[in-house]
Amino acid sequence: MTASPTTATTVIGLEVHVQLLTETKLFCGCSTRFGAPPNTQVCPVCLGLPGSLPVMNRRAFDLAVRAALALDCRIAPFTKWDRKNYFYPDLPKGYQISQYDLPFSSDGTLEVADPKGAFARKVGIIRVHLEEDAGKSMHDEAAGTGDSRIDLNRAGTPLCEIVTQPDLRSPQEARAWLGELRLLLVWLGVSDCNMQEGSLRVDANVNLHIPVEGRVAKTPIVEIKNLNSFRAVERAIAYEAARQEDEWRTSGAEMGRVPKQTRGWDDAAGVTRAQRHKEESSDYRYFPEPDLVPVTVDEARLAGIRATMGPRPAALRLRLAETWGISAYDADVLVNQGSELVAWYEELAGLAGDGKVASNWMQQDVLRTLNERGGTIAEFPVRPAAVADIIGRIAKGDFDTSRGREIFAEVLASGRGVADVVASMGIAAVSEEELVALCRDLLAANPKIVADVQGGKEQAAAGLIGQARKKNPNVNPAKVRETCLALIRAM
Amino acid sequence: MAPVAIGSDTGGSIRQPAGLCGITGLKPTYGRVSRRGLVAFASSLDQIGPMARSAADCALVLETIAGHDPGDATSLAEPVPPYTRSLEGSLEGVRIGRVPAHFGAGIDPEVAHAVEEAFAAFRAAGATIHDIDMPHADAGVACYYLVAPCEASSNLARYDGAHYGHRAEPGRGHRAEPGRGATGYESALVEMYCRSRAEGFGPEVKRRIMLGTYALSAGYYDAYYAKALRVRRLIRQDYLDAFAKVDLIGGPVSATAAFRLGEKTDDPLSMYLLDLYTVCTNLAGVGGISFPCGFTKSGLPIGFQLQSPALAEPLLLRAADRYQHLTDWHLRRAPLAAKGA
Repeated sequence: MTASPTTATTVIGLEVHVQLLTETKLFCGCSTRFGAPPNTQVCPVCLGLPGSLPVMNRRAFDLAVRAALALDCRIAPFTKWDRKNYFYPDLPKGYQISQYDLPFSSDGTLEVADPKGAFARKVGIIRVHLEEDAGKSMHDEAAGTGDSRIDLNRAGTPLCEIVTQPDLRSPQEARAWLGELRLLLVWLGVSDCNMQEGSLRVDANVNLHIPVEGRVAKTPIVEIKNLNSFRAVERAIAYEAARQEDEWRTSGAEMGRVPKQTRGWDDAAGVTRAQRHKEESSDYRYFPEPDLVPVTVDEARLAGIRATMGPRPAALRLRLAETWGISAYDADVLVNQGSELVAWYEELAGLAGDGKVASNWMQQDVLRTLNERGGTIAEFPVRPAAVADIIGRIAKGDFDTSRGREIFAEVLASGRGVADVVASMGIAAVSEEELVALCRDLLAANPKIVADVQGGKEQAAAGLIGQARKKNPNVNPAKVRETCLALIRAM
Repeated sequence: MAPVAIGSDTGGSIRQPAGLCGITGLKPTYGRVSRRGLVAFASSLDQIGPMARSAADCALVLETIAGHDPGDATSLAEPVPPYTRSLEGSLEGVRIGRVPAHFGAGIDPEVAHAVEEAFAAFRAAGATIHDIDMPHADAGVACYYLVAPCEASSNLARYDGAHYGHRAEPGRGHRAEPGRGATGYESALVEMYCRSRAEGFGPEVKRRIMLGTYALSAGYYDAYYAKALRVRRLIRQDYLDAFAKVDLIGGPVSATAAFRLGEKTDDPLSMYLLDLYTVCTNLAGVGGISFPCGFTKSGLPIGFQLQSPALAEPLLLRAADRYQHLTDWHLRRAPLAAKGA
């Protein structure tokens, strides 16, 4: 074998299942709320009782269309439902209502770019279709009895399946792309994308392209399941790429000569393991669902959905950078926090009249505090107007930024207004006369510094600022420096 | 015992028993009556309808049970006409189609005779009789015995013993083990599924589940199910073409009168062929009514079937009701039934 480890390209395609944020299930009126006691959000339809019939939830369909439009997909004017037949205890009807050959949307893209420029990737979306979720099996392995319990609360929850082209080229790209997808879907209110609650689930298809003797050897595709976090996605793909390279070196097996394999990720052990053959080979006997009628989607309906969507994150990053004069990196940080935070930022930037300063306050003060306290920006106790007030007073020279931070912290802690806090902290503007008098005293007390400055070492003046703040915490350091230098020059 | 009943008709299960028993049975247009609450066999074919002594009684029941149901996505939104009042009026000028192929090989001459007599009665009532062709009708049984079992194999999957119905007692002394345990089942759960289904389903249902599962399997789908759907479209087109020429289509309900109990159990194919005249109505989703038109020499009822375009139940019921005003077959009881009474 002539290939070296660095020449192999990792080729990755993702299959993402996203639960839609509807009040009720896809084909019945049961609640989709997470965390209710087992089997309390069920009815004859989602239990698959005899004589029950599904009726499509139009809100779920529109929400799915919203997701597909956000992914630049083509929306089919005519789409139908199909039955995917398989026997499993958490699938009470013995089939899942899904979409097979006529998904409601196809042919989209979602780009992801590393804000530091490490990669930029346009990822094709093969299809997005809508289906119902199955129930949940809880295997009680700890008890040692092998008993399994079934919770059907989740059965019938609307689920979007998003299938990408194999366009991703590294574990980092896959993770970043999933982050962008999650941002987009949360942004549009399509899903909460909570992986812990199972509202976002990922399978990854991975193989290697290895240049060898003037051609490209392609290793057999492996589908990785049981990926429970974005970190798991990144680690599992990295592991799998290394494993496939090792295996290719020993067996030389290439795609097409061996069947596609399914492997499960063991997060604790940090390895993928082959699943039993039985778990991977299935004949779902798809056929059109006769209990439901096809769905037609006209241009007016699409326009109605589009009208409620607003700008998507990628467009917003560009607009923020342009409107407020902030860097692409800063725009990325802000947009990645979600639409509510962006609205908060834009309100602050507008009131403060300075997008860059507002961005610094967002990132250094607001976001840091949010991260420490937890919660969302909507629950944040300080309003943009208060921060803008502080920024305005700093700009006016009432106090410096570090004093402003102390005020911010006090406003946050006490819930009082900025003016109130400024007054109670004894912060008052220092008049020109007071400043000059204070600087004269300082110069008189520090002949060495005066001599140094006169000798050309202007930076020696910095030693005066700390002393000035001790005498009067309200002085502005820049003004102290400026005034002292002027007084020395005039000596 | 009862003046009226309702039944479900997937390939003739209202009309054929009505014909064999000497009563009147109506299969309405697909979607006219909600299927909610009906244990589904073949969802795209199942339709609920009345079984009664007369067409007038069927009209009364249909008027009550027909209409849109927001809980059945396939139920039709069209308003329900007053079927009982649509019985008024003559058959003057009504065109009834007659399919010569219905009287080919396999039909009992006594049945053929009674059916031709019924055509004569309709002619006497003012209707005109026209010979028409239904070129794909002979593929109806083959098509039906693919579409229906395919859907049934999926609809009946929920009868796994876990939620309701018959549940086999689990075997004792073993637990779920990887691979196959002492009982030959993969796990206690799989054993419960397999035995519940083996014990709960009868041989005919099992045969149809196997037929449907096979026909939907990878590698066979195109040859069987997909082809059956194409044939179904051709059959539907036959009806559209026919109803451009005639208002109703008449003919026998089944090729013979009632067969003996258990007579056809060992020969399912010949039993399936009895459905020749009824399955196409379901495949096309149109309406059909069956009512008595005579008796065999041995005293068994013979049925006559009329089929109508979708939602033409008013005409269908009027024609049957007119016939029942001109004849009294529907009031006569089969000697066998009369003797037992």
